Amino acid sequence: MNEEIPEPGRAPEEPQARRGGAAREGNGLGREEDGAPLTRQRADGGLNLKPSGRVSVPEEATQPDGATVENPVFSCRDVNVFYSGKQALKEVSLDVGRRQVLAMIGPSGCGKSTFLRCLNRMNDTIAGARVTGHIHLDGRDIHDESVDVAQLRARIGMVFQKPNPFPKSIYDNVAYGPRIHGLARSRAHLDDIVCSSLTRAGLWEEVKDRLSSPGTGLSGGQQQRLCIARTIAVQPEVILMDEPCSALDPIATARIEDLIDELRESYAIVIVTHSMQQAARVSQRTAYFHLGELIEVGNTDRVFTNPRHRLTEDYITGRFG
Amino acid sequence: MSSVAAIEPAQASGQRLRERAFRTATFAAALLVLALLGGVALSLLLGAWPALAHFKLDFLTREIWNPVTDKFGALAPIYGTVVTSFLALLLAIPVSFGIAIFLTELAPVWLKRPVGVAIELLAAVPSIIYGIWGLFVLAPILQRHVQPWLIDWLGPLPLIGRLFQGPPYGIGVLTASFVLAIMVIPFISAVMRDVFEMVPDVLKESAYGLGATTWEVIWQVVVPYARTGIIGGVMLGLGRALGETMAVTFVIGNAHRIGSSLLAPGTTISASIANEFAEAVGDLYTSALVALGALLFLITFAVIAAARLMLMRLDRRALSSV
Repeated sequence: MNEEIPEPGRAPEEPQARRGGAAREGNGLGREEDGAPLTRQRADGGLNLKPSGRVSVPEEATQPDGATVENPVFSCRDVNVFYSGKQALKEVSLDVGRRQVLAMIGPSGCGKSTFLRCLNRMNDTIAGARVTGHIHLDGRDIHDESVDVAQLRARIGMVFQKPNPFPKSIYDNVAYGPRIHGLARSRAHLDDIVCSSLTRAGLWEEVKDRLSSPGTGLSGGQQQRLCIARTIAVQPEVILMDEPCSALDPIATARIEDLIDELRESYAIVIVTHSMQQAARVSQRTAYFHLGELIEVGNTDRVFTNPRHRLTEDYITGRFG
Repeated sequence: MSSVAAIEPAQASGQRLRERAFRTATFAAALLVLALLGGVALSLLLGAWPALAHFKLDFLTREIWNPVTDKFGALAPIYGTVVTSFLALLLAIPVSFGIAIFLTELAPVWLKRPVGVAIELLAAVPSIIYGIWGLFVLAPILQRHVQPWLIDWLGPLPLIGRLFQGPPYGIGVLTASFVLAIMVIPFISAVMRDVFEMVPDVLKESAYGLGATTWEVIWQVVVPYARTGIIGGVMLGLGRALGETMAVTFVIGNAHRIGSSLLAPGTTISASIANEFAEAVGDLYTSALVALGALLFLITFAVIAAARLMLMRLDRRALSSV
């Protein structure tokens, strides 16, 4: 399990910077047994995989089928989370693939948000939270002492349940991240970043004439797109979304979902959602959580049409949840 | 309809009576507060009237305080009150800010409660204990170790040098400020901790999520959001510092003059009243002391009112933005 293995090939347009350690644990640990979905993922996600570089290791018994993908951006193994001693997440092993959307569904309190918050170490900010297990981002353990958590979070954008723009102007909201990380070389460059981020978030046309008015004055859906613009302004590799549409009306929700679909071309996206329709619409893989455990994960079409686990079936058919 | 009809008329009127009695009782209790406040203000004004009528504005502008010749001016106590309170805040605000930030943002869970409780206990220590401690412990330490150092190093400086000249008495304005600072730190830090905890987690998390460091989150998110609350807390501390009597009386030296040096003895409004009321003979002397009290009432009232206003603004904003 711990052999040094060559990092599997990746899509050529992937940025090479910031790729530190070689892939150790994680990559090649499990095999994608879901033959057909994997092919789909390759097609969908544009992954350029070279299976020859992999080392085959038997699938762990506790791991649900389909928890792993080739060349994952995140590779999580046996993740446990405790809040003040209470276990909120149990032995979760799950990969996040590049350029695809992973949806996490499940009843309230099932641990899906908890898992999401592990990925950018946001649980660190909660007093009394403890995370165990291995979470590797591009093959590097995010809990390693050498990892600067602020830098880590800059690589992983996060969009929250409630739109939460800073009480600053629209411009300053988007410019906040580039400013604290010194990403802009000049004022003009910063203007560029702000403009392109707002454009990508589909908000530019609506706000270009009032960039200096407060971000909190926008409508809920606009605020959420502002938060997405703020997130992509830092040029993250992964975007985590914690029920990004739960406070929005259907039209605003549809716009965000379209946006997610566009963003998937450049980013890996992990989305927690209470809406199964949303999970079905926007994601390529779906993971079902129940009482802190990962019950089932796989290709979205497969999970919704042919769930393998009784709990998943009950949930998606609306018998509880 | 049927459920309403089922209640006996007698029972219903009994309930109404009890309701009304309870409402009247609580209303009376609330009125009592207003009546007390008005009564205090009125009696202060009546008691102070002879002195105010006799000295007019001179009472506020003169430093002289001579019971033998019946000449009274409040400038020295006002100066002492303002300066000790100001210095106390100067010392207490940074420390309280540090305590509050540490408790809300940085402290491990196991440390939060003990330190939080310790702060509340400190706030509950009777002021006379701070006074005794200030006189017997703090003043000698300041006299032997701190004040000579201040005189040597700060005394020769231009401008501020004058504040640190003269003999090290131990007791004096500076010592009183130290004791006051220690006394108001629990109040200010408790309020600051509460307002920092009011900052919505989503705001902090969105900054953390963008890769902000704890330092950046504190200065760019927490402090701006809690700004008015911080000021409100400081004002509450100021209100307490202005009115503090016993501890200050112990360590300030009770001299009715305005020394150019902070090391010199001085007095405050409340310390003067506490010291002299028992031996005040003559109507004018008593009236002058009451007038001092009225002045203090006015200053404290203004400070508390300002603090209330700011806290109200904070509440409104917290409600509208969450």
